[in-house]
Amino acid sequence: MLSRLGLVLALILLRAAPTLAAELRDLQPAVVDGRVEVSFQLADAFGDGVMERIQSGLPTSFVYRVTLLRDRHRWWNDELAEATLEVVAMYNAVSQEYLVNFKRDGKLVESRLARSRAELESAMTRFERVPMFTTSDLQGGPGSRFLLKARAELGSKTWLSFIPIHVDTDWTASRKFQLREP
Amino acid sequence: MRLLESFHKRRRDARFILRMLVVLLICLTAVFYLLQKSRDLPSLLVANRVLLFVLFYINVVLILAVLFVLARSIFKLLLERRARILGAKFRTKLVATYVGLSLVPVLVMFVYANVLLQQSVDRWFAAPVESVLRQGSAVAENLLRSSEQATLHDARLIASELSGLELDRPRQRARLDRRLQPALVREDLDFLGVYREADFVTAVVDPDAGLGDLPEPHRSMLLEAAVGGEAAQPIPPPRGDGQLVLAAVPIPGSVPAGGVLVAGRLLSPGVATQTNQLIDAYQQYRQLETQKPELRTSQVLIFLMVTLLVLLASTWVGLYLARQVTQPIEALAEGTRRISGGDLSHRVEVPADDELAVLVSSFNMMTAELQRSRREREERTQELQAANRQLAEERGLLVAVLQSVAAGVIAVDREERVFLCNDAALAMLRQSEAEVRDRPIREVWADDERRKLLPLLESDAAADDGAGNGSVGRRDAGSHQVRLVLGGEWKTFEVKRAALREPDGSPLGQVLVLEDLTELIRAQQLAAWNEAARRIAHEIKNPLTPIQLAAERVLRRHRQGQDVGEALEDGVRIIVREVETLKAMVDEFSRFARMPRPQPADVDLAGMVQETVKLYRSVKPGVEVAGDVAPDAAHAWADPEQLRGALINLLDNAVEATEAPGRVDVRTARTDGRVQLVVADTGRGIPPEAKEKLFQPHFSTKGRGTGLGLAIVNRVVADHHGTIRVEDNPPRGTVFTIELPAR
Repeated sequence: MLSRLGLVLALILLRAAPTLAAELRDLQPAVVDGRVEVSFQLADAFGDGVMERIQSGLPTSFVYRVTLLRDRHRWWNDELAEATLEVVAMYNAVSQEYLVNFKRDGKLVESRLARSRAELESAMTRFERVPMFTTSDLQGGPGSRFLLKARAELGSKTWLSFIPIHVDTDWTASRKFQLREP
Repeated sequence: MRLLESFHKRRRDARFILRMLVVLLICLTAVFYLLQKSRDLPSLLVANRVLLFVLFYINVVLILAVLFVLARSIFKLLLERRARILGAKFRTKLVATYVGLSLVPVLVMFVYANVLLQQSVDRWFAAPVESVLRQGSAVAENLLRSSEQATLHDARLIASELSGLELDRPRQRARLDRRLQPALVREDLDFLGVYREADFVTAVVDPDAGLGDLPEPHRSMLLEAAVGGEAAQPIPPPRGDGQLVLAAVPIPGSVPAGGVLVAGRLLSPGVATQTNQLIDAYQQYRQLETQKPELRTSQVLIFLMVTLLVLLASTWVGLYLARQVTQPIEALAEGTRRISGGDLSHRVEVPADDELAVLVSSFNMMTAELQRSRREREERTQELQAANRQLAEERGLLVAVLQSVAAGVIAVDREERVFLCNDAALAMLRQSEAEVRDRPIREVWADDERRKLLPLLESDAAADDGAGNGSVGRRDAGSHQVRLVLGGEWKTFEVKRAALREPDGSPLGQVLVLEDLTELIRAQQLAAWNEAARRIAHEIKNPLTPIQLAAERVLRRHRQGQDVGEALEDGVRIIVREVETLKAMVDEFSRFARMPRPQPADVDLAGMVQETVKLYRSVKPGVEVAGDVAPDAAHAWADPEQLRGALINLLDNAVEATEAPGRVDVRTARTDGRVQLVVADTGRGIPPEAKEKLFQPHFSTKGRGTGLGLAIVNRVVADHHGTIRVEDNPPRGTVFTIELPAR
């Protein structure tokens, strides 16, 4: 009896377990003109479910949380600054266009129209050299090494039909870098 | 004061309950409002799942609150049960009942309502609805796409007419406008614009279309057309309602390259609105469908919140009601335990309602009554102890007094058990205290001698009337003389008996006071014998004097030479007579000294009395002698001759003492198994001081005789185990009473 109950519970948990295995890749920092620009892409996040949700007209957002840290040898890294980049997509069914808004730390920095799924997916998941920090945020000596950590918050879903849970990717770390501009 | 505190506590409780009810009402109202408004919640809010998280955490808090309330109660109940507190089991049952009664219906209602809700949500997304909306939206989109295609077609046609158009000559613009205007009218368009890539060149507008201002095609559309592509896009008109369908196509051969022609056709407001509504409706439906899990979850969470609120309230109320019942019962149980432990000052001070209030009040009244009773009992105990101490002191004093008096005192209770016996009594009776104390008097005096004292205790009447034993004689009223042989010695005691009675008169026991008369009697007897010797000497001397005188007369005559014949004859006669007197006197003494042992037999008292009375009837004129024999006292068990002698002695004395006119009565009677022989006269009586010596030998009030008559009578009566007493016979005279055993 107990084994049957355990089996049923296991099935429920397996069914309720998140199937999306999105991850942030290619997190690359670049120091240009006193700014730290960040490039990355989100893989395996833009599924049919996301597309259906966008096409239903619901504003759908991905929030990218990027943290700048100073590397410390054999010790916890020192968190220097944090920035968010929120990408919100809205579909216009009459014009059949996707309006994509980019907000950094809550402020609208860019709006873009996408007319296809590929264009939309690229706008929402691929980022090249997005300025996120200024070098004035960075503290440390000339030899200090820094790194970035980022993750994406993809909204939420319900577990066991009534427990809402956040859907996030794991933290992804960049290579370590110094304040030497190319 | 207690009532006031109880009142305040109840008022506080009532306020608390009222506040809780108000809070619950507010919560329920808020939830209901939220439930109603949840349909109109902005999509963004729902889409971001903010509502879900808020609801979820509210539910978590409520679940924790319910669990806390339940766990706290269960933990307390477990502790109480483990501590074996009285009433814990009852409280457990009550709490389980109340919580179960609230929990089960609420959970059933939650499950049932949840199922209904899910079914309702499913019905919202029923297939027919989705199909109608999708088809409607498709129709609207097809209309738009058709309009776009038509506009594109017209744009292509006009663009081909504009092939080779030079765009960088401003002077050509007026001519271009004149070329565009007929095309606008011919193709029934509302807008025609020429752009160089994304830059505006010129445009014509149908003045009847009411666009108000030039529309602005989207840059991306212009750029797409500039590189050779085509693009169509419906946009809202600059002014007014409707939908302006723009189509951008490249102008072939334009100089420079990148010329774009944009054609616009305005859909009528009615068509545009309907189209938009159809598309919007389907979009909204799709949004709802996309949000279906979230909507379902939010509904479940809202309903769960309501359920938990109700459950929390009902559980709390259940526990509160259980506490209202169990608290007084527990307090009563605790009170019972305390009171059984002796703490009568404990009071149950728990507010209760209805019958429980009556029970608590009755319990407190009972406790107060018990406390009052105990206080009174303690006071009475103290009083009794004080009285006992006083009694003990008095008893000690009494014992000291009794021990110090020369008289022996023996007291027996109602069961004739000795409870008091002083040292004098023990010494008189030659007994120890151990033999006497707390033992029945009949065991204490079981021997032949001391048993003679028992008749004094047999009954009030017997004791008052005198003992039937020959050794017990009535000395005077209330006292008896008893002679015993103790330790080989004759002892004579004067015994007085008194009844001990309760204040209400009921018998309590008896007390005997013994006075040792042995020495006194011995002294009296010595004195009596002295008197007897004196009188014997006197009596002997009396005849000797005539004898001496007669002898001296004969001797004198003889010496004088006279004739002694006559004198001798007289003298001899006198001497003989006096010698006879002396002889009679000696005989009487001898008879007294040699009193024979009585030979008892059945005596016919009636005959004896009548015969004796007859002898004395005519002895003294004027003195009537009468006899009266009771039928039940016609016989006695005695020596007939000795009894007759005693009767004659008494009768003789009575007749001699009675002067004419007078009366002497001889009668018999029966009392308590004893026969009385009474001789009563109306003579001169006997002085009190003489009564004490009356039965002593040689005591006489007559001034003649030997004085042995009554001594002999007393001896005869004593030998018959009887008693004799002398009393006055009012108004004058004397009564002698002889009491003999009937047999």
